[in-house]
Amino acid sequence: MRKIQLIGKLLSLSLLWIGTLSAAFPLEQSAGSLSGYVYDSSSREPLVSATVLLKETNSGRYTNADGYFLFPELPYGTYHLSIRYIGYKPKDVTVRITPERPQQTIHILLSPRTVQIDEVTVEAEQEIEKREVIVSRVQLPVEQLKAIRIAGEQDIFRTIQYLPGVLSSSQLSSGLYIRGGSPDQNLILLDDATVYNPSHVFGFYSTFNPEAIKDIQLYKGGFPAEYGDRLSAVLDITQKEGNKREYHGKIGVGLLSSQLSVEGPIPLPFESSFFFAGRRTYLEVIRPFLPEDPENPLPDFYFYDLNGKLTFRPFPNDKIMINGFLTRDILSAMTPGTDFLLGITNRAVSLRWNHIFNPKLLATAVLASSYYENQLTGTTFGYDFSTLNSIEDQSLKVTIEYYPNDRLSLKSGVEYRHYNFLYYQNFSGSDTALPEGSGEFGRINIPVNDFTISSFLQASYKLSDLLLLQAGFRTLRMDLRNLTVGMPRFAIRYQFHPDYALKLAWGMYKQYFYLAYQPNFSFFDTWFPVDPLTEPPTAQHYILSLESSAFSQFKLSLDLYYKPMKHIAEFNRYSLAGTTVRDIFFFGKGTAYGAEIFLQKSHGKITGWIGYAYGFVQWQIDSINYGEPFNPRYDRRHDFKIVLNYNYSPKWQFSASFLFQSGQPYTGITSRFQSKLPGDNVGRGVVIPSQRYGLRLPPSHQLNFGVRYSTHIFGKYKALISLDIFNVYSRRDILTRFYDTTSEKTVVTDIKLLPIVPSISMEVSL
Amino acid sequence: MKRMLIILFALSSLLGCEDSPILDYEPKYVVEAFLLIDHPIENIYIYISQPITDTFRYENSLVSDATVTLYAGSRSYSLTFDATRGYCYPDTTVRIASGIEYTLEITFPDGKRAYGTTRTPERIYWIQPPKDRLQYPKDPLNYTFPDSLKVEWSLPDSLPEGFIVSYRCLDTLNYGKYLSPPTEEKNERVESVFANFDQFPAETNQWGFIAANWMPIVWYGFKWYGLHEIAVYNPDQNFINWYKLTRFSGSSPRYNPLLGSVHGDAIGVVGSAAVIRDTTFIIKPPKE
Repeated sequence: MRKIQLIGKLLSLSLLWIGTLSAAFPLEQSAGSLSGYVYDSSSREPLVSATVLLKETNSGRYTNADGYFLFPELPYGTYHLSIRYIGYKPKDVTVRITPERPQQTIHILLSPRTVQIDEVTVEAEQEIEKREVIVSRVQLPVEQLKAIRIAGEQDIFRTIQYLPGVLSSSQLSSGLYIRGGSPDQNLILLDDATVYNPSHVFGFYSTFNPEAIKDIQLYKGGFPAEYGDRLSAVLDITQKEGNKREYHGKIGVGLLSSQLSVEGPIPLPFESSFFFAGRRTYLEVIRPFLPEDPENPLPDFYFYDLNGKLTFRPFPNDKIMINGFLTRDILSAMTPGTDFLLGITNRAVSLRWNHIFNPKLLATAVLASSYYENQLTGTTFGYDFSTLNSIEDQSLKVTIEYYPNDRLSLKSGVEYRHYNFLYYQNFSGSDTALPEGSGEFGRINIPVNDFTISSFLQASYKLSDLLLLQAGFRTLRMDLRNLTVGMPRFAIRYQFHPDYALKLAWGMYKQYFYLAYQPNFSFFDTWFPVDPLTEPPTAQHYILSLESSAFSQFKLSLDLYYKPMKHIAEFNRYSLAGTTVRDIFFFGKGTAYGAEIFLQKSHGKITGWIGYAYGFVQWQIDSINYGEPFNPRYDRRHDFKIVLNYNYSPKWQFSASFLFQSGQPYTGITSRFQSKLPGDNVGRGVVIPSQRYGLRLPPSHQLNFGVRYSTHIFGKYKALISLDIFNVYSRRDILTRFYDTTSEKTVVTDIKLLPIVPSISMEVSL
Repeated sequence: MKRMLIILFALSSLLGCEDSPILDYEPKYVVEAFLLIDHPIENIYIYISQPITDTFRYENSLVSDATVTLYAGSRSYSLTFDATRGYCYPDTTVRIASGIEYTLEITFPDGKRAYGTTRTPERIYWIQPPKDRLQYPKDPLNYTFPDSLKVEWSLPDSLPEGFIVSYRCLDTLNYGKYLSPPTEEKNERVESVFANFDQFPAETNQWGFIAANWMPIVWYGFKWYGLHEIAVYNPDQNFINWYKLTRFSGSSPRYNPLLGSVHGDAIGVVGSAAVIRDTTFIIKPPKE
């Protein structure tokens, strides 16, 4: 009851604030407004981030996730709109705003096209940037995300790792290390629902099926107050709504997995659609054909994921979406004397309702639920063991957007989130049930319930045509910790030259979670809340960004960032019997700083980007490295990346990507000794490390090629055949360097990563 | 062509820029001391770490001329080096007691000093000791585990993170002499798939960590047939931490200061444990 009252109070305050402001900024009597939606002409799928340029005022807008745009204050008159979107034919529209029809809403349909020549979009984007302070955000067209494949599999996270400033712990890991932040510091949203473990194959692939994804936005830092509760970055992913006019399907066949997607209209009296996609591996089908050693059997492994979305527009100003997402990884094996089964599950469901009160006042309500678990069960010689770690959240978020005039925009919201954490371990050899909340020798069964309440206010104000201010404030109430924190955020954009703009951002960021994880393999990711004995991890983002549109068709940005962090946590892998968060993590502080340059071309026959990042990450934790500062394993000084797509013809497309990165830090060795426990006659050779991560592995570099051929099969079905070569010149990165002391001669051994991997795959659209 | 040559040169430069591991030798004193309750003061070894570029010789790493003193309350014991017992107290009637804090102080030959402290834990007792004789199954992978193949011990009031169990072959050469009537039959290694995973084939002692006060007979534990000792340790936290350090990292354990319990100019462990032992005889499976 107390929680409901709190939410109600926050919501009322939020509405009151918006109401006060709307009274303070009355609409001019001689002005109207123009709003609208931009769709794909064939599927009626809303186009996200299409550019809408109003020629008379030379101002522009990006469409939002629903394809919506708004010009809130336009004097009566005739206006010419130019609408552009990557991969679509541009469209010009004329609209009249008159006293009889002061508020107009238009629906614009864009037709897809194959060859892309579109310079106007760049101009429109320049105009839009003058209205919004968007700092360190990268928007990647989904088609470009498909440029990198491994074993025929597209992977969104692999491609994101090709952005400057985004690093991985290794070639094996799809985890995102962004500007010195670890993967747990990234907020990953899929249609407003949080995804806690976005990986398959224990970190090798991301869980997001590219076929189901419509839009991806990555904030590498300085994200606005509407996003929160994470320290480093935000990845906001929107799924496809589905074709609203015709039924379609697509089948994709790869070496490791196949996928199927279907979409179409739902037969209802109002506009509605569905989209479902599924993907599954079939290693178990190939397995019988592989040679097998009965004494060392291959494990059984498979994963699948399902994506679904239902969209309804029962009234012109109301849109309802039901989103679903399910992934499952299963690894089981029967080894000599031991059987085990490891299962990892992600589940997210959200219900989103958008309502337009009037063209200037929009509201969104999202009811969402997310769940992640990892579970291990097994037996060794009759000795049973099992673990289950899970996190579940249910949330309700209400957001209001208000655009009183062309200078001011306001956004406010409140969110209630309820968490259930479960930590279950049973290494007692007995499979008898243990009551909830209890622990005994070798067994624990501890559920933790907690809730958080967040609220935010965010305002953008255009002081002049050259100067734009944005201010926001976010609060976070952590019930278990009994603490409320505030996070102010500011940003300024100054257009000091027609082709150059300077942005300055500062913000405070706090995180509610800690994550116990292994950097390379996400077997047993375990989330912990901030508890009464710990302080929430905190970071400040200082960002200075220079953006240029001086080069035709190219967007160039230079970012300098500085990010001090405190109360950051490092998992203590040797803690077996911890009962509080303090027992499981080491706490300290860190700093990340660096510079990034990013040149992106999103239009034309050749698209892609070139990026370079120069960065430093340093941590200081009292319990590690004798309290001396050290560079964590993902600290890489230089990070250079190129991604290119060449649309040679409607039938042929070529892609290439290349990266060069400084080697990862590793810990060297100074000497060894032989440890003998009582009764040992041999013992174990133990090496003594030098300064933690004081040395560096050789640099990483990798080249990938892809060719795509579009054709028709059986005369009518569109088919896309892809040939990809991952790691063309077979440069094998070192995953880890270790010192084998099993014999008297110490052997330095490098575990190397993937060599060249060619692959072929095919997609058929029905 | 010129462009191609430049590209090839750049590529070869990239491929050639691998570094080599730096192996600067920094010698370090290492102390390994395990005080076992109701046992004499012994099992204390001091090493000087060796360069990893050389072949490791255990004898070369032993330090036998340090000054070592063990303190227990107001009493102190000056220890001497013995080739088989390590640093020890010559009077073997003096035994390690339970629930006592012991401090070990060492002065190395070059004048450097180190110390470590342990509080000895509670004794434990057998509830179900191992059977005198165990028939090694013909097919251990498909063998059911009746309760009679279980060992169980008492739980102390103060529970450790886990117990440490060891299986040690006491005689790898002789087998028949322990039979009744005795024979000349020689002992031999267990033929099983487990042997394929053994990285230390000469080690006669096998270890396990368990968070319970019982365990089944684990056939992994036996590398030979014949006479074995099964021991259960109720360790103090220093012992457990050292066990984690040396046994949780496979073939490549690495020193971690968080898991050590020696302070000053050395690294290592000063740990203690209560131990219960019993012997069992592993009978070879019948010949086909």
